[in-house]
This record gives sequence, C-alpha cells and structure tokens, in this order.
Amino acid sequence: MPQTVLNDGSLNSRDPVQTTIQTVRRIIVFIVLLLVVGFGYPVFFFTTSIYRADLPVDEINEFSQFLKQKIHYKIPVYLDIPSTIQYSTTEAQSHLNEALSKAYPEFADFWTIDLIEGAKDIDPKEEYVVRFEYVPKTSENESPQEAIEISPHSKESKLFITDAINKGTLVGHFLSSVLIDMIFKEELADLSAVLAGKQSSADKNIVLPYSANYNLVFSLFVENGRSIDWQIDQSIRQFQPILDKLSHFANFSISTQVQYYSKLSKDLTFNESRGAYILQESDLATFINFGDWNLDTHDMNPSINFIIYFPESNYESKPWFIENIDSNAFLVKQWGGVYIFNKDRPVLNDSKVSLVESELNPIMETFASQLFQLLGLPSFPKSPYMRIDSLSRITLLKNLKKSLDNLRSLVKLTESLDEISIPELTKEHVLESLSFIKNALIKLDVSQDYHAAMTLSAQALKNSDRAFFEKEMVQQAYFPSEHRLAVFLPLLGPVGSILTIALLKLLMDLKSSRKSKKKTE
Amino acid sequence: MLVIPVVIYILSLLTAIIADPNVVTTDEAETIISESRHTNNWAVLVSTSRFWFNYRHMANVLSLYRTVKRLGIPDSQIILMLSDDIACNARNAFPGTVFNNMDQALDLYGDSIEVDYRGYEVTVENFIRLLTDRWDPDHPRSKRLLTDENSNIFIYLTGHGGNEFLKFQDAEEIGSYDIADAFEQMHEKKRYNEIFFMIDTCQANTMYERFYSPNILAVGSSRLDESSYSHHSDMDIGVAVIDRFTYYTLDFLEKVDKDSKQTMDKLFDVYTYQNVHSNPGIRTDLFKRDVSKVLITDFLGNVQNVVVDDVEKDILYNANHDEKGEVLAQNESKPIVSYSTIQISFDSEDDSHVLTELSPEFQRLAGLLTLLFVLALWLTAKQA
Repeated sequence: MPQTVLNDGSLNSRDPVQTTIQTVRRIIVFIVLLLVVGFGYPVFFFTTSIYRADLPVDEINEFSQFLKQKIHYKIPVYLDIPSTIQYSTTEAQSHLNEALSKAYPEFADFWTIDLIEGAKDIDPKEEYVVRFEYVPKTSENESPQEAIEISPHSKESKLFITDAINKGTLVGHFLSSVLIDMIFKEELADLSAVLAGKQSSADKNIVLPYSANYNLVFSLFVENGRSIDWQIDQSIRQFQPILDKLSHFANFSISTQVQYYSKLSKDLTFNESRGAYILQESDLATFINFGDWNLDTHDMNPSINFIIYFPESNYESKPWFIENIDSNAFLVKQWGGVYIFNKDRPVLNDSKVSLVESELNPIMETFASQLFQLLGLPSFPKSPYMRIDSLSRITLLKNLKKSLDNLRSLVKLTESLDEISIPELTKEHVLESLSFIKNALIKLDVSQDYHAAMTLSAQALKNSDRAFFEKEMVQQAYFPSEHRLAVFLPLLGPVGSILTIALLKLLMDLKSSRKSKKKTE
Repeated sequence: MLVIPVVIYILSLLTAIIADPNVVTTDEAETIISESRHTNNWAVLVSTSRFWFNYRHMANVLSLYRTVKRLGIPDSQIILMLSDDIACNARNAFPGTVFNNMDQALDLYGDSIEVDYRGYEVTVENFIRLLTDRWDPDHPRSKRLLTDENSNIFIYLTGHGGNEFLKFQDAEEIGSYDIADAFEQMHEKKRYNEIFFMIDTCQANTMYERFYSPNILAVGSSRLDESSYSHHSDMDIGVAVIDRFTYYTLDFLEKVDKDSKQTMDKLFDVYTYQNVHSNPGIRTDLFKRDVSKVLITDFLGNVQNVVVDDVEKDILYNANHDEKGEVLAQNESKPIVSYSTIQISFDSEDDSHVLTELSPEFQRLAGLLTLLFVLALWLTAKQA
C-alpha cells in the first residue's frame, strides 16, 4: 500500500499513513454527503409530503351545473276515455303540456307527464290511471255535476264528465287542472323549491334529513311506578303495510320500551273549573325531560321517537289537556311525536292498567300521520301509493343535489386548504358516488323507475358523505407544516451539524494542502 | 381599550333602566326575538389541562356541562372532553367532588356525568376529528358530533393558552388557524346553523380572531398579553377552584331556566373588567343576528320546535283495509320482531385462522427435524 502512495510524487513530504487516512476520510465524507442529499432528502421529502389524489373536478362541476338538464321525469299516466267523450289522448297531451309550461315554465324537459291511451291491463297500484266517465242527463239526475274521485287505495282517479263540459278543450282543462293542481301539486311545488335551493313551503324544518336507515322507537313513559301493560306489538303491526311500501326509501327498524317514574321537569297546575291539568302551549317545547328520560338509542342511524305519556292523574280520572288545542298530540320538528294519554274510563284502585289495541290504534294513527310529516310525504292526495311515488321523485332530486353539493364542497375545500391530504379512498368514494348518480339518471331515462333510481341516489349520497368524511383527511393529523422543521430538528440537528463540521474541516484541509502544495512547488 | 367595558357597563345600566326584562310579556318577547331556525342543540365542552393544580379548568368545564344539561341538552348531544383526574385525585380532600366555590354548595361532578373523551384521549387530533367528523366507521355515536344544517353548536374551551394557541395536556397545542379551518370545513359540509364559541384561557381572544366562516359568535376571556385569572382559592382543597370568567358565566346561567327568554347580551353584560380582571372580547361580525335578540337557550338550551296542527286520522286504516273496508290479510302473518335465540358455542376457537396450512405428517417431520437440529447443536457445542 505505501508503494501506491509513494508513486504520488506531490505528497512525498508527508507521512504516507496520514495521507491514506485523509483520503479515506474524504471519501467517507463524500459518500455520506451523497447519501444525505441523494437519498435522505428525497426520503424526507416524500415521507413528509401530503398525498393529494386527483379528484374528477371537471366532472363534478359539470354535473352540479347541469343537474336539472340531466334529469328527465316523464311520468306515465294511462287514460281510459270512453267513446261517449269526444276527446283524444293526443289532444289531452298538448293541452296538458300547455298548462304545465304556463304554470311551471322552468320545468320544460325536466318534468313532464306522458299520457298513454288505454288502461285496460294496467294495475292502478303500479301506474297512474285516469278514468273518464260520462254522466248523461237522466230523469233521476236533472243537472249532473262534474266530479273527481281520487282513490285512497291506488293510483287511480276518476273524472266524471257532464254534457256541460263535454267539449275537447274543456275536458282538457279539467284533466290538466286535476293533474297539475291536485295530484301532482305538492310534488311540483317541492321540486321547484328544491331546484331553487329553498326550503319547500310545507317543510318548515319538520322533515328529517334523509338517511337510508331509521329507528322507530315507540316509548311509553309512565309518570309513576305502577306497572302497565300495553299491546304495542299488535298495534305496531298496522305500520307494516306502509313500511313495506317505503322499503325502497329507507329501512326502518322498530323498537319499543316502557319507562317508569318519568316525571316532567315542571309541575302542572290543576284547573278546578275544567277538572283537568292544563299544559300551556309554550310548555310543549320543553315537555320532554332529556335529563331524566333515557331516549338514547346508541345507534348510528337517526331515531324517530314516538312517545306516549301516561300521567299519574289517570288514576284519579283527571285528564291532561293542552291549552287551546283539542288534540292531545304534538309533533317535535325533526325528532318525533308525543301523545299525552288520558284514560277514558276510571281505573280501579287495585287493577293493573292495560292499554289495549283499541285504545292504542287511534294513537298509532296520529303517529303515522306524524311519521308521514317527518319523512316529508306530501299531504295530498290520500293514497299512500301516490304520496310515496311523489316522495321518491322529490327525494331522488334532493339526494342527487345533496351528493353533488357534498362533492363540490369537497373540491372547494381541497382547493382552499393546500395542506389537507386527499387520500386515494376519497377519490374512490367520489368516483363511486358519481357512478351511482349516473346510474340513477340512466335508470330514470330508461324505465322511469323512481323507486330504483331513488335507492341509487341514496347510495350516491352515502358515498359522497364517505368521501368527505374520509378518516385520513384530517389536516392536522400529526403536525402543521409550520412545525415540521421543529418536529424533525432532533433528528436533523445532530446529523446536520456533524456533516457541516466535517464539510468545513474538509474544505479547510483542502485549502491547507493546496497551500502546502504550492510551497513545495 | 379600557373604554369598551365601561361603555358596555353604562349601556347595560341604560338598557336595564329603559327595558326591565320582567315587564316584557312572552308574546312580545317572541316577536322581538329573531328566529334561529335551528332544531337541535349540541355542546362541545373541552378542558385541555391535566393534573391537580389545574383543578379550576375542570371546574370551569363542568360548570358549563352542568348548565347545558340542566337546560335540557341530552347527554347524547353533549361531547365532554376532560382529563377527569381531579375528582378522584389522591390530593382531593373531598373525594368524588368538584366544586366551583369555596362554599362548596354546588358539586359540579354530581352523580351522572358522562365523559366522552377522558384522560389521554383529549388530544388535538381527536378534537379536530370531532369537529370534522372524520372517524373510523365503528366510532361510537355517543362520541361523535352528528350535527346537520339545523344544529346550533356551543363550543367551550378552557386550559392554558397563549398567543393564537391552546395547549393540550402539556404535550401538544392547537393553533387558531386549525380551529378556523375546522370551522370552515364544518361550514362547507353544512354541519351547523350557528356556533357559539366560548374560550376561557390566557390571551383567549387571539384564538377566535382567525375565524372566517359565517354564523359564528365568539367570546373570549382575555386579550393578547393578558392572563385569565382565577376567582379564588379554597384553603381546604388547596388550589384555585374556578376562573373568574367562568365563575361569572355560571353565576349568570344559574338564574336561567329551560324556557327562559333571557338574551345573549345580558350574559355579555356580566363580562366587565371589574368582574373578570381582564378584557373579555366578543366577536359578532360573523354573526348575522343581533345579540340582543339571541336567546341564551338558542345555544345552551334545548327548546324544541313543536307543531300542534291537526293530524290525519286514517293513514293506517287505509293502508290496512281495501276499498270495501275489509282487512287486508298481509299483516297478520308477519310478526314485527322475530326473536331468535343467540347461539354461543365454544368450538369457535377451533375455527381460528392458521397462518400456514400444514399437513399433520409434515408437522411431525418438521418437529423431528428441529429436535435433531437442536440436539446436533448441543452435541457440537459440548465438543468445543
């Protein structure tokens, strides 16, 4: 080894071992420097950089901008026109379109009714059917009246046409006013409100936010501790047909409970003249005693609560009334319903009270009506088939709009906060949500299947929520970027300082060796 | 800037003279008070300190917990974050209690407090996750802030703060930008209708100055470079029991009922320099309503909106009967709830996953080989 050093004539004056060490040192410093710059820095950079997946921003913007243009409601209505009435379906269609564009000019191409001739083989529970009936003047009925009959059990309605209006245009007027101003009135109003981004007039914050699962909790709160039987199982069964019809809308799970010793937070005053306890209307807002009554289901899905309150004064045959109001029930917005139960017949002292089915059924009717309000079903027409159909169409639009709102918020957020990470899962959920939106629109276009399209829109909503609430998307997960250097200083400090000192020493060495070189020369 | 509290004080005197709140009837009050449009109330109460000498921070947060609960917010809608190491601290002369006053009249710990995030769970990350609701799918409901666009949220923070930061348990800190950005995310996702943000720390007012999302009303206990002072010490307990700001807040709120029509500005009137010994700040520029028309119960209570309209009477009847009034048979056969027995078996252990599947012959062979290998090692080692 010394021989190789000796070959180097310029270093002859130095100790050969020293020079070897020096060269090795220089090589080491160089390698470490290379490692730090070439390997350490990229590793540091990549491990501390924030992952931001590319979101389909253009697609989201396009969808949310042109959502209305992409939805085409074309509701089929089957007409059954007897030969005694001089009117054709094509005439009816043009009359209806005219009336609709007058009432809702913004709905062109978005919401139309497709009149189809012939209702022979159509199941009125599946499709809208309008039957015309000619009522001639007879000896029994000198001046027959025009009339409408909307079935509460199906999607069928009947129009009774008299001689007075048995002319093309008048029949057309009659038909379009029945359809636009009665059967689809609330739906049209709601849809137009949703499109405008306003709350629908009927809503007033009553309707619960949409969820694909709800808990229906029926509770009996008893003021004292005397045990009570209630035949709730039989009564609840009455809800089943309605819940079955709503099965595409949401999944309802029912539970019941009885709680004793449930006092109100306020004492009531006894009104001698009326022989009853009087609840003021203003007391209803704080009627439910959240401090003492356990109403928590610990379930992720929202609960709709229905409470029957059984006051102790029932044992003394003293009823409870709400001041100025006939009914004993009230609805709590976005929460549920309450019914204050007054026993009709006096209770014998030692007997066990039981609420039998015949007593519970009217209460269940009240709760059903409240449930309809809380879910946002239109209040007209009576037929649940028509209402649920309307609800599906409204909810479809609401869900699509909300999903796109969510996605747009997400985009806006990622643009305004540059330090927030966008994990791959978020992107996946966004894409999934978009594909559900597309599928819902296709379903609508191809088959006008509102129920299936609504279910798809619910999926879109769920996925857009997931995208927004993705766990990894926490900006301040470990440290803000201003603190990044501070966090890594204990690691970078020692390494960095040693390296800098070594570099300095190397440079100084080089300098001095160059000087000595010059001297020797 | 000392003028402000004085002005507020004079104004409050004036308003008290001009309009005695007791004279206003409820009907009038309802027309005066602007609508909040919320349907549910939530509260997030956080004490970020640990250890015995921070007794007062726990008393602070429990004061507000007591109030929101008394005013009707259900426990499922209160998120309480605190270290919870005071009531049962070895140094506590009165185990199981936390008092707000040396008269020891009000046990804030009580017998039914529900702490959602306890001890080392009180972290910046959890707080931010809570606000933005970014959790694992299996995070329990009771520990989540499941608000929507109709929710009013009351957020109370107490602990040791500084210029634009609040320390979490001596380990980390949250910056004012972090909270502001979290609120913006909540606003984007329509997670609130209005927020009432209250903070009792040193230099507390610096914490809300970065907010930029709408509909936030913010109150802080002290300005930049000011401390938030404690009210008094209890010699039996040996430490300061509560901070001045929160003491006077609780003092005021104890007189508020569930359905009170008391307004927010009356609460703010309590925050004088004489009371708090620092300059409390109130930020209203993001808030649309006039604070003199905002009810205390819009944020701290749970006054529910009720509807007493007539109800329909025949929905279920129609659903269960056909045109002729006959009962439809479909509902008779279906039981509502089918109780099924839950089967528990101890065999499930056998089904547990095996990392690699080996035939028993191979297992035996492998065991034998290992034994031989160990024996060989032992023998060679002995020779050496």
